[in-house]
Amino acid sequence: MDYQILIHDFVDGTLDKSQEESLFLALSSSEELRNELRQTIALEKAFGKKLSSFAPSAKSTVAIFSGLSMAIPGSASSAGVAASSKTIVFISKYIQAIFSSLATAVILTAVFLGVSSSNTDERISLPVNSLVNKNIDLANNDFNIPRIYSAEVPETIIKTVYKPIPQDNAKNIFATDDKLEILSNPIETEIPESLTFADSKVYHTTILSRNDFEFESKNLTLNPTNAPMFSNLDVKNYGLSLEFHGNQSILQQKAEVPESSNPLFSNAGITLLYNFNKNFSAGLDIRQEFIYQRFEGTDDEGNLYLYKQYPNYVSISAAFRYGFDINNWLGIYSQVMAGGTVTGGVLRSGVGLKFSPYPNYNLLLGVDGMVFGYKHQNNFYTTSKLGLNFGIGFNF
Amino acid sequence: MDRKLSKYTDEELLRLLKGSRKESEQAFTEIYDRYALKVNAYCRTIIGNKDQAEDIFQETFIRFYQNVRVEHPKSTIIGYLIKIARNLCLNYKRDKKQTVSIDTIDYSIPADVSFEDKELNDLILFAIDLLDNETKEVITMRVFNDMSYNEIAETMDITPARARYLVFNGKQKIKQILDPYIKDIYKY
Repeated sequence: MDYQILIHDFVDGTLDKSQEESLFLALSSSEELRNELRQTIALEKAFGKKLSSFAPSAKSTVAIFSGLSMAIPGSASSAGVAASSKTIVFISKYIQAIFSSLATAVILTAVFLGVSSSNTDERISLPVNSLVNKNIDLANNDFNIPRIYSAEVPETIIKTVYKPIPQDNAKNIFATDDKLEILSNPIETEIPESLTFADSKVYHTTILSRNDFEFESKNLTLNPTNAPMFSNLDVKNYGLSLEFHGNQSILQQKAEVPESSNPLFSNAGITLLYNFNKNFSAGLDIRQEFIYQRFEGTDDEGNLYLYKQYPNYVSISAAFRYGFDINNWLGIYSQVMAGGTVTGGVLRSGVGLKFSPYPNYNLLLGVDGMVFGYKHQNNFYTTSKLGLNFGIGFNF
Repeated sequence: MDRKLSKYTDEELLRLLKGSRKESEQAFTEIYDRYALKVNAYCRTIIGNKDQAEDIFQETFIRFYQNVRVEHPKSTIIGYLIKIARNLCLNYKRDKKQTVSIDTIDYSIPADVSFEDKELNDLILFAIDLLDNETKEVITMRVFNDMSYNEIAETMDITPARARYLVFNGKQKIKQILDPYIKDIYKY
């Protein structure tokens, strides 16, 4: 009897029960046969291990399901996504994002600044942003009286400086845009009896943003009734901001499977913020983005699986933002967001720059980090990524 | 569908395949999850070249779906899939009239396979590739595709006894080829 065949059949699972006894008897008395059994078992195990290395590539899976016009399975396992250098991928992604941001900024700046600069008069006549000096006595057209017919008053950019006049000073003071001059030849001025010089003040106003003011005279009259002239200009209705933004991942775990779908809005979002004051805002952020996931799980038969998927999630988050202006057209902000998707929680934080070519419009460019946490079979997993955030905001 | 698709038998999945578009798609996805690894193993072992094997693998599943929508396969799903893959492999070899030398075989291994497993994978494929075509096919169907001797016999158009003999003979040859490494393999 050829015991090698019996050993093979035994390991192969096809040995007849009646032959098992004679095989076991032979094995008990022969070291050589026992060695043969060990080798055969080892080889079978090796075949089993080999099989696991034949996982079809993601490219094949996509090709098959696309070829049959079917949705590509989200958990399509993959061994070899088309190879490309990490560096090239990183740079290409980065350049794409920067290019998109710059292109957006250039186009929008051209639109807003280009239109406004060619139509200044019309802009000045806008009721919300214009101011008329009602203190001008047009009948008494005296050049000693400052005349500001109208001016655009950009929000939050008025600075008022108060300077005292010495009580016994009989000289006239001429004010230019940014300094006071004392004239050698005094100009006689009629002073109401009810006023004393001690109560008088110079109201020198510096408008920082635009050169739209037209001073008919460089002479600035000292008139206390003009004092509150600009005090009501800082009245700002902060209201709501609506932002449309795009996201571009620049750092994340390399995805080993293709993106699961091709949604209409990919890596894009909307943020609605209520501005409590000029620094602090809070609101809601809704965005759609791809998040790569890699996690383990056990199937019904106890086999351990490694799942890889690259689904597209819609996340809804509460957003909190704190920012301040560097100058009239540039500000810095930082923000945190907390929310979730249908499968897990999302935490984000980021910093960015706010470019304001026009008071009611902003261009945003920032860096955004996120952590996505989710559970699978009572195990908690996280995935994170860093991205570029760019967009446009409208203030109402 | 009350039960999970993973619990469905092959026969039930085949029936679903002929149902509505949604059912058909779900059934096909389950069949793909169940058998893609095995079909790919067959294609890779028989063809050797990874790119060509991938093309045949893709074509196999597409033809399978198109065929089972109009005719009921007489064998099991894996048997039917391997039959399609085998025909495609034979056509490919006939058209190309190629003999694949060991040097040109692409034995690339997925990145998440450990170093020890990579060596083992290389050795096993190396040994299988040294077998004659008939033995190679039978071994692949038996050890990678879990096909019964009757299914192998039907697919290869040989007797079950012949299939059994070829499997035994092939494994003995593999053991001989791997003899210098067999102690290392035993460790796994």
